[in-house]
Amino acid sequence: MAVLDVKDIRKSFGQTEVLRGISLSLEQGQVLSVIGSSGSGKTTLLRCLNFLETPDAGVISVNGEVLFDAADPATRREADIRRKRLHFGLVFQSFNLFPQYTALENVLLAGKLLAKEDPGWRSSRRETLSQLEEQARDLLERIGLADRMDNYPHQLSGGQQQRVAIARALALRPDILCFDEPTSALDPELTQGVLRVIRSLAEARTTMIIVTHEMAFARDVSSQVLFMDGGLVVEQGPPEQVFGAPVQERTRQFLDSYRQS
Amino acid sequence: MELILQQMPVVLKALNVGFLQTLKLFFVTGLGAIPLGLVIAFGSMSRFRPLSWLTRTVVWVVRGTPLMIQLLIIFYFPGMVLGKNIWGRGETGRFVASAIAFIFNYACYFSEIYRGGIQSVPRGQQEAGLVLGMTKSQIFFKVTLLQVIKRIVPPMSNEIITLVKDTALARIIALQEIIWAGQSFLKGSHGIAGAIWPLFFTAVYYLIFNGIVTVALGKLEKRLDYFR
Amino acid sequence: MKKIVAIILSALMLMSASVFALADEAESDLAYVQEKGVLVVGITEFEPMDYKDEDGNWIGFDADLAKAFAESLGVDVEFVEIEWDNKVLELDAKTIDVVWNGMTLTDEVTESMECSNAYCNNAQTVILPVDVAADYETAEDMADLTFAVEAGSAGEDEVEALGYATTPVLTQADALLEVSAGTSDAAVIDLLMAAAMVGEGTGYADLTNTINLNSEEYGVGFRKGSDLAAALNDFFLASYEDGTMEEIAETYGVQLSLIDQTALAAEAADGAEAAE
Repeated sequence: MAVLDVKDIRKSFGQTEVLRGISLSLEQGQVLSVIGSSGSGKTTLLRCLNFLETPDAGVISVNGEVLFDAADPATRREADIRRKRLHFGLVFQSFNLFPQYTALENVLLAGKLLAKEDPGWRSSRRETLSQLEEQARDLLERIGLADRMDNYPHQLSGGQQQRVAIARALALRPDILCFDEPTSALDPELTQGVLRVIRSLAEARTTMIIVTHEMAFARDVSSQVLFMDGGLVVEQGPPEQVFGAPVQERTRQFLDSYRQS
Repeated sequence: MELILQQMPVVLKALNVGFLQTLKLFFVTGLGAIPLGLVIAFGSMSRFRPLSWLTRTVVWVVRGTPLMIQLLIIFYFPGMVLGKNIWGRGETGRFVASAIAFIFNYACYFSEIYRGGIQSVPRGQQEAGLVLGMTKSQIFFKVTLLQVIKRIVPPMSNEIITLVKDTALARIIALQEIIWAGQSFLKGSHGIAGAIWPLFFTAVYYLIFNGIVTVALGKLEKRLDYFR
Repeated sequence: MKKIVAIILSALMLMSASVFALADEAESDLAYVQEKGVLVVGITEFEPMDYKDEDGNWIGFDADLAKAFAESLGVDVEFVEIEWDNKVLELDAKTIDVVWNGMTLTDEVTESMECSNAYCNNAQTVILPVDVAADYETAEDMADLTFAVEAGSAGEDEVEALGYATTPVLTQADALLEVSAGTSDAAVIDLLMAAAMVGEGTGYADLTNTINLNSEEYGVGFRKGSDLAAALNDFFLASYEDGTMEEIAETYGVQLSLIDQTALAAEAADGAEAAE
């Protein structure tokens, strides 16, 4: 059974239809790269999956459970959306770390707040906290920031900040981790560190959706590639097929423009 | 000069009493207006149109009219309409009326500063909180608030220093703050008449107090320097 | 600034006047005061009429008289300092019950308040620096001077009647300050106040009072239509006849200015008879 099943998602902003019926499905441990020119709707798709935007039509299911169905008002209740978001993690292009917290605190904050909602919080407070902290330290060590845990975001480089943001998203153990152009805001020399972290996550079979312009990386790390244009899925398949032998003319044009630049 | 030295103890005593009233008004206004301003800021940012419209209109009226007129209206108007004095007798009534006028007036000014501060926090901060499963109020108190505070401390400092001096306006409804106390020696009080120096001397009180306020707010600003 | 305040306040009063028109006018002010048990007296610090002694208690000719009046009504007395410009407002808002502060009975005053009989004589007197006082012997000599006057005071009316330039200030004391600081050439203030505040042995030894522009009388103001004014007239008559008023006046050195209340009452009685 697919971890994620998306059917016919549509979204308009005013007169502009940004998503014109997107369907995709993703198996456990797969990495899906979404490519396409800017304005093709990639970012909006991720924002819909994370419920930052509400689709006008379509269905989103995770592990067989329907999280969202535009036709069923019961699935659109504001109060439930918060919990549903936890199935997904999102790493932003501009990191969006909380500037007043250290790297460690950034990773810990949301977990702590969720733990407080647990009925057993009062009795197991101490253990829960130390557990959360241990987990956060592990994560930061894994992404190579063991020595920067107590630094504030402004004391870190862009690449380090993005790695903290990845750890922050991972800390809540989402079913699917989404990346919205994670390296676009970084200098080329800082990009590699972030890509290395994502690659190691792929190797550990983390289910991921990556919106990216790093074609070589996408080809290398993905199990599936999806090319979007004008709010539609133009071509979808294994990386060898999409990059090596694209069926659609539009895909070829897009890839050519990358090779030239 | 000799005369001034001779008058000094009596004058200082009276000025201290007046300044105590000034300080009371200052602190009560601060304590009331700082939280009320936040409520008003939320009102004016409300997505419920009638509420935001109403709040913005009230803020416009309060900011667009002199505090002095607001003091006069708040203190005198109820008695004229109701036929009885709702403020209680003596100076307490005048103080309560002044405090209400000041709190409301300053809350409106503060609300605009808050609104600017809240809106200047990048939207990504809120989205990051949402994606991490935080509630709106968790996002406000745990993520946004401190960033807002950091941004609003400089403009708030200006308003607070203005407030220290604005308390003098309450003399229009005969609240006996320090300017009133200083002026009373002109007309004659405590056996001293025609003395202008006590009125000038009140400036020293304002200067010293504003000095303390400036240092305290500067410290706060420094303490928030640890993040950007 | 002052004018703006005045305009807005009059607009305010107009608004409230329309409300008043609906209110029950017949209610007795005397009963209102007796019911709450305290007479709230609006004053400004004004030696020798109302001022604080060294312990901060209110004394003065007016203050002592007000205490005696309140006692005769069987109520307590409370003194409240007010902004003089707002006196009618304070009465209407019921934040005070009476204005008792060496108030000159001008047309403006008698129109806006219910006033008692006159009880004390006064004059508006011209204050000049001592060193130039000799150059000005008559009002005509003063045509080129600028006069500092308390806004809305009897002194302001007198100078304006002469057609001379005025600088309105907040209080009579400010008017003295103007002359002392040289920012105005002269000031016009109450004679009773001048006696206490200028000349040798006061804070303004460099100033002196010269000619009087008029002679006038002090009265006490209540809310329009108040029956307290009549009660005070009765009290004035009684205390004049039993000597208490004279006694209090002597304490503050104003006994020569007292107005004969017996004669006033007789006049009033004659007037009433003539009317019948």
